[in-house]
Amino acid sequence: MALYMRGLKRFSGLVSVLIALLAPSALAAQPATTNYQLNSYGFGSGGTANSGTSNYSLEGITGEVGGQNTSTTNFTAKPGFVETQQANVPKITLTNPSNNYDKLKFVIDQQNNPTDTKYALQVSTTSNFSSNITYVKSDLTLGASLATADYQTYTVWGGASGGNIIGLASNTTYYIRAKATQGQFTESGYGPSSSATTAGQQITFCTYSSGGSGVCGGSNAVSFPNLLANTVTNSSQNINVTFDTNANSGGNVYIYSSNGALKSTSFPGSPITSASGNLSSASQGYGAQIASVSQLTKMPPYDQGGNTVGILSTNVNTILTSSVPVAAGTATIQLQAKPSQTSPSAADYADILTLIAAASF
Amino acid sequence: MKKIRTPFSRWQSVGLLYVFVLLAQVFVPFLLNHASAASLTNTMVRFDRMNTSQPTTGTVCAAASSAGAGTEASVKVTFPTGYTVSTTTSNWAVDVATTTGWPTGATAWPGIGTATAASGQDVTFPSSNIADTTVHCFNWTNTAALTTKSSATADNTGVVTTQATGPTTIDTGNYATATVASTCGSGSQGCDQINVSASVNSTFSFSLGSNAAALGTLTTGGISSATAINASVTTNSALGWQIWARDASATPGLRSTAAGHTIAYSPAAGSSASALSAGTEGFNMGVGTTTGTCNGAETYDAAFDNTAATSGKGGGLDTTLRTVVSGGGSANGCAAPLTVNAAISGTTPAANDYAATLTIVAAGIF
Repeated sequence: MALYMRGLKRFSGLVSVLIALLAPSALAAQPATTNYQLNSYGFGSGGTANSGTSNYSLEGITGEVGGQNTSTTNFTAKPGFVETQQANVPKITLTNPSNNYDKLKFVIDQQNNPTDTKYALQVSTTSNFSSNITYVKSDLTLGASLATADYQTYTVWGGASGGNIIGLASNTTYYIRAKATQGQFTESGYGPSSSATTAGQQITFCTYSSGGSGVCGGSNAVSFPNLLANTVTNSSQNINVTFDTNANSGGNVYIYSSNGALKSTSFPGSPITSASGNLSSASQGYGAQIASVSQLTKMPPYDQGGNTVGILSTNVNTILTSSVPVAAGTATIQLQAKPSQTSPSAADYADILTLIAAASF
Repeated sequence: MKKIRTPFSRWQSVGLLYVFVLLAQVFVPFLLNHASAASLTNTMVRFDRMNTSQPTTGTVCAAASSAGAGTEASVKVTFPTGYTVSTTTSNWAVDVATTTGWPTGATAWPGIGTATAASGQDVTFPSSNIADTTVHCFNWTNTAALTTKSSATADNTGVVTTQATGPTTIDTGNYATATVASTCGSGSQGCDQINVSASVNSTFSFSLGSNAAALGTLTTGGISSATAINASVTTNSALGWQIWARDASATPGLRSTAAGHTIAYSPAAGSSASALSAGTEGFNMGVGTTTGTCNGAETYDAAFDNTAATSGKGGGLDTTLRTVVSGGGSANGCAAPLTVNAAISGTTPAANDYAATLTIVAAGIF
């Protein structure tokens, strides 16, 4: 032992010289690693009570009780002062309640620790935490290292509502466990782990006519009753839309027209042209109006009532939107048309509307 | 114990180590800058058609993870499995002029151009550096570039990757889209489309501006003409309309019961329109140029045509409905001005009850 200490002193002397040369501000004469440093060789019984830096401390105790640990599958009882002063081992749950693809929700179970107890959260993609170890950083992202700032109180970690770990990979199972500390020499071991799986990027979309079976995949035909010149007429059927996505920034439903008008094959030169505006005061027109909506937001100019409609142009226009993930989004779109006095009488007025959707992940 | 001498003394070794450590610190900044890829935000690929096996154009949008994430030189779009990606780079022409349907606040993708590589599901476009975190978009404009997959499925995922020269990945963003069936109901249209149909009923209306044409007191010194009466037609008949006139009386013309005399039509019914002469007995009706919305070309019958507005010019009527004017298309208040004219001679019996009843009718041609 004495030989070892002499060697250690000689080594520390060399290190001291090097550190003094390299970084005068970080003078240190004792053995150190990146994170830990032995401040005094008198540490422990009969010497210094503890060896600390601003972030780390070592505590030495004499007469520590030895003995057997008592443990079961779920619990371990350890004897001695060091063990009894530790914070209670916290529990934590990880869930994906909102079908997210890049974040998971955690909620800490304090296990009766005081309110000023701080918790560190360790994450892995392996159930036994054998690899891919990361930590929940104070900004709720994952990082490879655990810093002092990443120890947060129960309240800061979101309290009973918990928080969301962000920036996760999709379609991946994550495991999380927590440890607690309340002042020096109290850090507990990690508690039991909990796991949850991120979803993939998801989008579903359907558009169909309220006619026929009135279900997704049913009819996609919308007709008008006989149009009268200078008279606004509603379509006999409505266009239904269903849209779901778990995209963080929501998504849009778009609409565009093949003709930009109701056009007669017999009289192609006299279309009932589409334009945004009030058909009551317009000499003629054709357009769409959102009759009802759920979980989605009407986009202008399709958001008006009465006989005010939005244009059905050959350009792609946004008709429905959401800036947040959409669950069970639905909308009903009504068409209105008004022939002019001179719109030729014909039975073959037609248009093809294309409705598409995209999500912003 | 035998000592082994080395070429360096202990202090030489320490000095060498010191120099090595100092030099090593020079490389620390480079090591720190070797950041791992981050995530694009607002990643979106919009396919302008979503039904199966459909060639389509589309739009790509994304925002960089940070303004200084890297120096973008290209953007790679990985399309979902099953989508047929053209490997002909010229098919991947792009456009940033059409911005309708782009996310609010989105701007043109800087430096975007026709694809420089297309292989497998990946298409790589040139890009300039993106120095902000706003959403940037571009459209691919040729349907030959991409065809949607052959089955209708949700959650078809792909990736947008921004790359620095190398290429090395700067940011990545996953996205998802869906395909819908190619036919819905009994129709043959894709399930991303709605067939709209309508009929417009036939309409026709006709009116006369007045039912009385007062000629006043006739004299041998001139030709009397009543104020023109507009015969107005409104119809959505694309083929046009027609106006007819007749005088259904037994003795057509301007007749006085009291005098037992009729001022006959001049010219006679069926003859080309001509002008009356002062001092020469005669009665006729002419039609002037139409006003209002009169689509198509009007045809003025030669027997009544007075579009030149010649005083006293008109044609004769009898009990037969004779075409006055016809329109070549729809009309909205298309007004044909009808004017009756009369002249008397020195032997025309004096009377104050000269009168005639003209019947004017019209119809649309559907």
